[in-house]
Amino acid sequence: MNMENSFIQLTDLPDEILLNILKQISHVDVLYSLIGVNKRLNNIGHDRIFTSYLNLMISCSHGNIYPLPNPILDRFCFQILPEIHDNIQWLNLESSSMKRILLSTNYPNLYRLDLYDLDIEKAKDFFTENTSVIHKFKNQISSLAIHITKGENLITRKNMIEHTFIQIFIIFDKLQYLDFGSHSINFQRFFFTILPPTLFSSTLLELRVSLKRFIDCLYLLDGRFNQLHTLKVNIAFIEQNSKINNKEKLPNLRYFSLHCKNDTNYYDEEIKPLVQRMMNLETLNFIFLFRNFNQIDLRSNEDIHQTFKYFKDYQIISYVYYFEKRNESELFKYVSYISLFDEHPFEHEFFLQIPQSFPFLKKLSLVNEKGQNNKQCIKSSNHHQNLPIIKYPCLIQLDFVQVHEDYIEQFLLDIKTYLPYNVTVLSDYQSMKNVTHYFRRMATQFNCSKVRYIPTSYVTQLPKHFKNYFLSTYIHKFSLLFQ
Amino acid sequence: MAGHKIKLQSNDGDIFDVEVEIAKLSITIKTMLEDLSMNEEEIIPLPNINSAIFKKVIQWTTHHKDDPPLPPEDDENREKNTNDISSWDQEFLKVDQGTLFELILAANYLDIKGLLDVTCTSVANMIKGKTSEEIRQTFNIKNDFTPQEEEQIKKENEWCENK
Repeated sequence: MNMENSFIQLTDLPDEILLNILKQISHVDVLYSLIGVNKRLNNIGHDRIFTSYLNLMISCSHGNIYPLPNPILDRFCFQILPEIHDNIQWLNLESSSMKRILLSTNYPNLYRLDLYDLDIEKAKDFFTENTSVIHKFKNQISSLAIHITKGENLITRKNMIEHTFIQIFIIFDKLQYLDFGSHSINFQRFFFTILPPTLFSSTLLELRVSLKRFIDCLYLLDGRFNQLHTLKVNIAFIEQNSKINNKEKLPNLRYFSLHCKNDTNYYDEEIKPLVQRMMNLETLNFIFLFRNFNQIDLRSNEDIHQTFKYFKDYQIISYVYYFEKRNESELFKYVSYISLFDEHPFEHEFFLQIPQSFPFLKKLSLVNEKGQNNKQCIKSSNHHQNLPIIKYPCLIQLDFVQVHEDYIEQFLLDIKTYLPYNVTVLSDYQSMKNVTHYFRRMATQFNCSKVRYIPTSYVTQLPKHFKNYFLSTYIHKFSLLFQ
Repeated sequence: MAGHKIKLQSNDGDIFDVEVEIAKLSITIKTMLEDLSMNEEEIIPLPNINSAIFKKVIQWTTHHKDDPPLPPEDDENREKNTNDISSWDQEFLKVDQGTLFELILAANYLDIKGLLDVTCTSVANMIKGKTSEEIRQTFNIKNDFTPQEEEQIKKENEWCENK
């Protein structure tokens, strides 16, 4: 082709290149912009590459979920979804728009639903009422992921979560994959009060779930999910119990992942017998957080290896990390990212350990809604003068995902922390406003002047003095919602 | 120290002396040099690229010659979110649409993945968030659906809604 004096247009590009361009944007953007433009672009937009999986919501980098803006949602419900409904196999939906989207057309090939930001009260109705739209899909959904957010009432919330979990197995008789709140930081772990016979599935192959007690994990492994291949479970507490004496083997289980945010003294009594029932296990993933530095009976690597002495066919490697003050040779020199989550407070002494153990830490993410216990003591006794200021020499990002304001203060007060320049700090705007006393607090000004602050909640207007307080920060207010 | 140079000829006859290491960022040229055992004095013709566009390509490859290799492609079906373009590339891509599309075709022909990615991302950013009518206006595209065809699509959708 002689390109001299050519005036090439978008539609002159071959399909291969148009596809390359369109793969750079979300499927929703492709459909919204291309459907109906002209015949060729319309056909490309209908390709299964863009129509089999749709994320019909806005997911922000800081984890917040929003519905699509109304004009876009209207166009999808009235025009686009009815046009492409045969191709759709997987939908990600958020709570406020999910019913409308599911009712807008038929989805004969839909097999996977991921429901985000579900308020538990609404979720209960969604999965309980016989008239609920979800029943339309009872014979076709094989994969379901539920991401539940907080409800108001703690007691009813627990019951509703349990009820919803049980109800899912009544509705979907072909379910093979279920993720029930395993990643949601706001999710309340539940425990079983009743174990009805309907809580049973001979099709379920993979289950990811957050539970309160170890005994609830044992209940799930009592034979009611006899085909289960993969189990990933987050547990709040591993306690001793003698009620369950199930020794039945679990020959189908190949992958077992157990995360527990609290320490346990019952490794031999509880965890070991369970793992030994998993005779064909191929992958095992244990994560326990030991917060008590002085505890002396932590499991050693050898103890854990002992658990697997009967597993002849697989090499199992285990590591136990003691998060405590370390010798030079024991530093975690290659750890650059740490995510900290707990349901108990992190005190100043705890943060002191972090740069000592992880001297090259670049990114720190915090989730903890419990305020610090020792904060008031430190304040009243002037004890802080004896506490060393914590320095994070390599830190470039500090992410306050879901935190009590004490932790923002912990990192911004100049008597507690010395932050390097240009650290990106992500936090809720209101919390930042409170901690910095509406951007006028002297004790936090030094660190704030050095950081690049990104609010994780929508901001309509900033006070004029904000830019004098956060000297290294530039906020484009219109970009905040969709960053 | 300047490296070895080769001669590349655009389709309008201009000859460019280009350092081998920079020219080899194009997999097409690299393959020609290695597989066809061309010597340094031979002029390599590039029949699909005019001199104006080739100058831009050389400008881009010279700036990016020391970039680390690109990571392998992600899963084909996964949605990408790569709308970030470096400030140098943003400045480089401040060109009219015709030039941008010619750069895409040149990058594709020369097989320069980094240039193809950044030019495609630039066009993707122009598409994102626009309605179909805005896309027609932005890219000067004619709606070739007949009123009857549009009516038919509407009816099919209504049928789906009522099903």
